[in-house]
Amino acid sequence: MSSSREITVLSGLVVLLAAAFLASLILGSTSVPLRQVLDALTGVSNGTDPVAIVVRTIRLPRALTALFAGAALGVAALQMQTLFRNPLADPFVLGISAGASFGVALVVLGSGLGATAGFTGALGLRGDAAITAAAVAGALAVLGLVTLVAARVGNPATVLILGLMFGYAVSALVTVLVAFSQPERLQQWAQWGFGSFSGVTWQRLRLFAPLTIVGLLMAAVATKQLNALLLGEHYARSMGVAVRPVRMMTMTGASLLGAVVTAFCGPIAFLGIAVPHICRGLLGTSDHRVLVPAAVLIGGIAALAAQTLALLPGATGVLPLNAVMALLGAPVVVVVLLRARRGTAAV
Amino acid sequence: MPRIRLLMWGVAYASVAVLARPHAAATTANLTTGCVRGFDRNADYFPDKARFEDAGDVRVEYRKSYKVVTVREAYSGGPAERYLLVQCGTPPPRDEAADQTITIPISSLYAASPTHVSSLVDLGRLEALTGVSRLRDLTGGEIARRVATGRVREFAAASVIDSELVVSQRPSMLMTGGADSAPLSVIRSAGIPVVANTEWLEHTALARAEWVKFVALFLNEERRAQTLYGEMKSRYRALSARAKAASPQPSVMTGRSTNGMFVIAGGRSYVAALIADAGGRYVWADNAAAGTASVDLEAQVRRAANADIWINGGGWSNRTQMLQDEPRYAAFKAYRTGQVWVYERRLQASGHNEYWTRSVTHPDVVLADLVRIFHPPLMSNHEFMWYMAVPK
Repeated sequence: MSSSREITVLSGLVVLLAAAFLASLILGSTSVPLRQVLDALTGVSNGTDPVAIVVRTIRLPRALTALFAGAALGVAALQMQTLFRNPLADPFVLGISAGASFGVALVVLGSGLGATAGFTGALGLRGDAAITAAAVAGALAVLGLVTLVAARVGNPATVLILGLMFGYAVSALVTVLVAFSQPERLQQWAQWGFGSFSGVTWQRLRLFAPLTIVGLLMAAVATKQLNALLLGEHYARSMGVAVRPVRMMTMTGASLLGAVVTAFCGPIAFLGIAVPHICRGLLGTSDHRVLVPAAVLIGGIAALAAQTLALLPGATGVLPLNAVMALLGAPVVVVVLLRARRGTAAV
Repeated sequence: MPRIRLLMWGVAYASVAVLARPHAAATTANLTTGCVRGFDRNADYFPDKARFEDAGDVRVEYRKSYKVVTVREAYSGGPAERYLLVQCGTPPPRDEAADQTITIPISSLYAASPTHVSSLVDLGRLEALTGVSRLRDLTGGEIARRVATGRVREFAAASVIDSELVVSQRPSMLMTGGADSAPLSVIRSAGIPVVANTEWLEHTALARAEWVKFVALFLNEERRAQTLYGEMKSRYRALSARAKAASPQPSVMTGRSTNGMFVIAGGRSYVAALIADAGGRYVWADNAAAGTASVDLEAQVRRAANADIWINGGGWSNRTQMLQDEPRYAAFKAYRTGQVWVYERRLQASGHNEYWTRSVTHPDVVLADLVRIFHPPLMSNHEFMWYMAVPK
C-alpha cells in the first residue's frame, strides 16, 4: 500500500512535529530555563509561581491549539481542493470566514446595536467567549445558506462561485460596520484579524479539541471516496460511490473545521491553502490515505513553527500570526511546487 | 487769554481721546468676536498672548495683527504645518509663507474630535461649534444642550468626511484630529481652512491638556486659556508633589487581554507619566512605546503578576465575568486582591464614555482619582470622577 518513500516522509514529519511542539513549550516571549519548563509540566513547581502559570496555562494550551488548528486547516483544505478539483480552494471558499467575521464584527464593533447585545447577553457571554459564539453563529449561518443552495445545484463550479458571492456580500456588511464603529473598538477588531492561538484557554480547548477531532475523523473515514472523486464524478459513480452525499458530507465537514478554527483563533488564511500543496509535493502522491495524515502533520508543524516565530522569542513584541505564516510559508510552497513540477504534476 | 486757549486744547484733546476709543479698546484685550475697524499698522491687536510651557508639538509667534502657529506633525509621522491666523479687519501679510490662512476670531468651527469640543466647553465658547464628526460620540450636559439647538451638523457619520456638506455649510474652519485624507484636500481647495490638532501625540497629560490654548488661538481667547491652564497645572503639580513624596509607592499594571495579547500603555505614554505623577511605579516604565503597546500575555504575567494595582482595563461588569473573559487574569495579584480599577464610572448604557471627551483637558482630576487609588490616606475626601473598582 504505502511506498517506502511515504513511510520515510511520514515518520520524518512525526519527528518534526514532536520537535516543533517541544520548541513551542521551551521558547516564548520571556525566557524560561528548560529545567523550570519541565518542573512546571511535571507538576513539581508550585502552582502560584509565575513561571509555572506561564508554562501550564499559556504555553501548553497555545501549543495544543496550534496543533489542532493546523491539522484541521490542512485537512479541510485538502478536502476542498479535491472536492472542487481546484488547487486554489481552501476551507473558506464557501464564505465561512466571511460569515464568522460578520458575527465577530457585530459583537466587537456593533456594541451599540440592541440585537447584538441581546444575542450575546442571552447566552450570558462577554469578551472572547462572546466573540467565539458569534463567529460560530455567523459561520454556520453562511454554511447553512450555501449548503441549502448547493443541494439544488449540481455543478461544483457553480457552488464555488455562489460561496464566493456570499462571502463578498457578507464582507460588505462588515465594511459598513467598520465605517460606523468607534475607533477604540477598531483596534480589537484588527487584533482578531491578525489570527492567534493564544486566546484558547484550557476551558475553551475542551470544546475546540473535540470539535476538530470529529471533523478530522470525518475526513479520515472518507479517504477512499475522496480518491474516487479525484478521478471525476463519472468514474466515482462507476466505482459505486454515492457522489452527492459524499460531496455534501465533505463540504460540511471541511467547512465546519474552517468555521471552528476561525471562531477560536481568528481568520487564519494561509495555512488553509498551502498545506495540501506541500503534502503533495513532498509525498509525490495523490492518495488521500497518505495525504490526510500528512496534512495533519504538516498543518500542525506549520502552525507550531509560525506560532513560535511570531512570539519573537526573547523580545516583548509579537508579530501577527497571519503575517508570519504567509511570509515564511509562501517561499516554502513555491520551492515545493517547483520541485514537484519537475517530476509529477501536482493536483 | 491763556485760560481759554487751555480750555480749547482740553476739549480738543478729550474729543480725540473719545474718537480714538474703539481702537484703544481693541488693544487692551483680544477681540473675541467680530472684526476691527480702521486698521492701525502700529497697534498690537493681541495684548493677550498664549505661551506653551509643556506642549512640545505646537508653537505660536505673535505679530501685531496676525499669529504664526506651527504644528510639528500635522499627523503622526507627517510634516510640520504653518498656519497664519489673521485678525479680521486687518490686511493679510504679504511676505509670510503658510499652509493655511485663517481669519480670526472664527465664528463657526467643525471639530473632528470630542476633545476639541471639550476645549470649547472649558473656554465657554460652545456657541462657536457648528459641526462634529459624529453626534453620538459626544456626551455631557452642556454639549447635549448645544446639540439640541439643531445648529450642530454631523460631517463624518460613517467615518468618511462628507466634503460636500462641509463645503456647502462653509464653517470658518475645520479642525482635524491630525489625520490626512482625500476629502480634506477637497475642503481645503474649496477655501475652507483645515488645521490639525495633534494633542494626542504629546507624551504627558499636562502637555495634552495645554492644547486648549491651541483652540483658544483661533477664538482670540488666550487670556481665558492661560488662566484655565495655569490654575489646572498648579493643582496638578501640588497634588503630584504630595503623591510622589508618599510611601510606599505601589507597583501598577495597565491594560486588558484580547486573544492572549495584552494591550498596555507604553512606557513613554501619557498614562505612564500619570502613573509616575500619582506616586506609582509602572511595571513597564522601561517600555519604549509612546502610545499603546501589545505584549504577550506571558510577558505580562512575568512582569506584572505581583503588581499591586491594575488600572485602565475595562469592559468588565464584575470580577467573576473577568475570569470568564480570560481565566488567566487570576494569575495577577491585583486581580486577586480586588485592586482592578477602570475609568468607567460614567459609562453610559450606549457604550459611550464621557471620560474620552472630558478627561483630556482636566488631567488634574484624573490624577486626583489615581492618587486616591494609589495613596488613599492622601485623598480621603476626594470623590471619584472617572475611576471605579471592578466589583466582585
